Amino acid sequence: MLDRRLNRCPRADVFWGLTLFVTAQLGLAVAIECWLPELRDPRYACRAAKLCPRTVAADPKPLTLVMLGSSRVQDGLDSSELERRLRRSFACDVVLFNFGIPAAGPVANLLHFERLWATGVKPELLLVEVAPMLLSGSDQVPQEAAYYKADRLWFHELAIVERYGVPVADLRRDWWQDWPVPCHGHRFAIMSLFLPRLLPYHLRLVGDRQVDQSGWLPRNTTPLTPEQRRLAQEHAWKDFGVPLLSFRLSDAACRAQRELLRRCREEHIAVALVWMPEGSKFQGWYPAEAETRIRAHLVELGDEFGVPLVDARDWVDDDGFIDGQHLHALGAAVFTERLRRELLAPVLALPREAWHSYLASIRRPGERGGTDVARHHEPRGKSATVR
Amino acid sequence: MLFCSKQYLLFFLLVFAVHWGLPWRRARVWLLLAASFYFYASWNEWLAAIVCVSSLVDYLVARGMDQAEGPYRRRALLGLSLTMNLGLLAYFKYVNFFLRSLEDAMTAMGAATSLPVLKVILPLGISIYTFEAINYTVDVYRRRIPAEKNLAHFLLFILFFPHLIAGPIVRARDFLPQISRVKRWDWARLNVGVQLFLLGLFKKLAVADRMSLFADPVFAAPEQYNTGALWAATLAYAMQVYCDFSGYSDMALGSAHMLGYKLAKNFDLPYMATNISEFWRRWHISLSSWLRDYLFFPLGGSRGGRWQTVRNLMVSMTLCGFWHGAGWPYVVFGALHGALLSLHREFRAFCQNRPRLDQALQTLPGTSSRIALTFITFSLTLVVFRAQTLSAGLGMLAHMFSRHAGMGLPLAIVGLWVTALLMIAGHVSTYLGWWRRPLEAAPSPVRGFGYALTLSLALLLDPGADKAFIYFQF
Repeated sequence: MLDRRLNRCPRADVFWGLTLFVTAQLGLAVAIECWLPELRDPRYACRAAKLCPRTVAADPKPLTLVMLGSSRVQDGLDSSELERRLRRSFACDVVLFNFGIPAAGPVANLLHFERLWATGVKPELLLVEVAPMLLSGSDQVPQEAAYYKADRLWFHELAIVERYGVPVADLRRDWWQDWPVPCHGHRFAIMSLFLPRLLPYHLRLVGDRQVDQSGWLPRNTTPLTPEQRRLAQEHAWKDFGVPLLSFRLSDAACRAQRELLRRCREEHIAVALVWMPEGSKFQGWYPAEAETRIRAHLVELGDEFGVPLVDARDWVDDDGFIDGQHLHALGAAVFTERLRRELLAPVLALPREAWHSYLASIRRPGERGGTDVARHHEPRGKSATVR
Repeated sequence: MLFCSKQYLLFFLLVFAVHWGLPWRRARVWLLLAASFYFYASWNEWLAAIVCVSSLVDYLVARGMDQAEGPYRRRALLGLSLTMNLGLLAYFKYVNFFLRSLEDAMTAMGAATSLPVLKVILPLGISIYTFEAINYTVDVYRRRIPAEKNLAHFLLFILFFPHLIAGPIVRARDFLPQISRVKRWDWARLNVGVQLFLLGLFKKLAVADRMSLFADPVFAAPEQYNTGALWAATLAYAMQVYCDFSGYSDMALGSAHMLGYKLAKNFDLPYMATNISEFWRRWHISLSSWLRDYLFFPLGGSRGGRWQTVRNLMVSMTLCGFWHGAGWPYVVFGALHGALLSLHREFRAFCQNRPRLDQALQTLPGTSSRIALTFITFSLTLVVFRAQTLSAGLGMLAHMFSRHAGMGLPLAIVGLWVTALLMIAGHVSTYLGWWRRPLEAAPSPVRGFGYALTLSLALLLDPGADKAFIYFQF
């Protein structure tokens, strides 16, 4: 076993091995901190890389509209088409960006907003998704906490997410374990960048790199067979339907949402909350009490911050969904067009100074009836309602 | 505590540092003993206690055998040791299998009955340390080795953490003298340990765990996949099981080397074997040689007639299969290999009388074909080994040899082909010794770069499955 010819300078071999490994890891760790943010949070970074040059570096600055949210937003808002139509209609330089990132709830939305703000992206209008499942959890810990991974957070962000109930003891430990060995801690991001085909589909982050200049990636364009739709709905029931039965509004998630709205008010950013479309079956999974609590919370937010709720739950027919909550490309087209017609077009038609008062004047979240609804009410899938 | 986990890394670094920091040989033994107990107890402290108690009994029995003059007393003590060791193994590993089989048999005979299922936790590595204890007491009984007088040394032989869970199965006559030997720090030994550990880590994380992504979903529901996917999953599993187990063995050998101990080599390029007999001389060598020395030879080996040899092979290999797990798929796997070994003996005799056929088989194409045939045959028996049930395994084999519609592989197949090509290249170059000369000539920075690259690639390619080693369950 001990072949002396292969072990002429064993001490030097071990020394060089250790030195080169440590140097390479430290170099990569520093590179991620300074120059390669896409290896820390690829999903965020590839979108920011598309958005920043169009806004921060542009001269004159375009009108910037950003929608923050989860995979529902990612699949539901055809920002590319919407931006084109808004540019055409208003003959001005508009950037509309879909910042939907899977599993991003109120805390992640706040984080993403702060990151964008720090890099100089200052949107004039921010659309914030209301995803009830991501508002759930215990008082102290939001449901969203389950999706956090240490390798996707910058160190200073651990303190931020901790403020909103995300347990950070494990995250902090993982962060410090990952930092000195980034080739392991960030392996999925590195592999996604260089050898995506060696990764299982669910670990690949390469899809996000293909989003276009508006953050849109038309993923679900092939029509679904009834069997595929049935399977997708079964999954949705397991992942969302069952947890909805024991829905509890999380105080921590609500605080994060409030903080985002407070920051927007502080920075004079116009905001609208958007409850994304849901299929009729999916809507039936909400216990009555849960829906009442969500609406009550949104009324409070509306009153406190003067932001409207765009209740788009009924905007799309059941055929427009994959699983009752994620939109198919056809459903996305319907939602996007109605969002343009009912919210964005009226807002953009006004001078910027009037946006806040206009948004505050349209219906408060959770209210039923009233002139706006009466004026806009149409049957499911064909109506236009800003509630 | 997996060898490829951060906990093990910290644990090992601590043990390594304290071990070489201690100037006293006896203190080092006690340190390793304490560390080994902690290693096992970190999983289950009660079962660690059971291992210690059974080892203590073996120690006392062997001492008794050593001192006893009369053959009856020695035989009785050996019987006691074997009964205890095999009894514990039977209880922990096989009791529910026996109860289930009895229930099935009674049901088949028309007696509707329901036997209880015992809640038994299978102690990790029970098959390994049981065989180690048996080889010790049998060797003492045969007077091949004297009984170990030092209890700490004997306990360390059984409990030494690098081989405790999944082998290699250590022989007392190889290991006990090493404990008594004075150990001095040796950079060459450390270097070899590092090389073996890195190689094992790469095999486990970059190959075995990655291949499990192809194999696991298909073996979980083989009826849902098409014929091509079934073949690909079989190939993936063949690579997985080899790299998982030989990776573990390499890491065990590497860890032991770094602490100044040498464990027996457990794998020797098994997929380069040209026939199934050679395969078993290259695969899990410590188990094959144990079965040969403590089962096949005592049964008569190949000294008897043709049918006696076949019987001995069938018994040894069926028990080999049963050793792997309490289930009919394992028994059938073992029996299949017994039959293959018997067939190979017949074929060898057939070739001996036909020199032209024999010569043709020795040519490069002939040898390549034999290697390929041995690999494919072994892979096909792995289908039964890996399947959830015997019927599922046989069903999968049937679908592999007919056109079966279904889903394709769950992952892009390029990863499988790249790994297969790398495996072939690695096997061939090692077999032919191609890497030796460049490695001998390479300066230290280049070799160091090789270490750093191997470690980085292992960590980078880890699919994050956090899978335990396959052989932990045996």
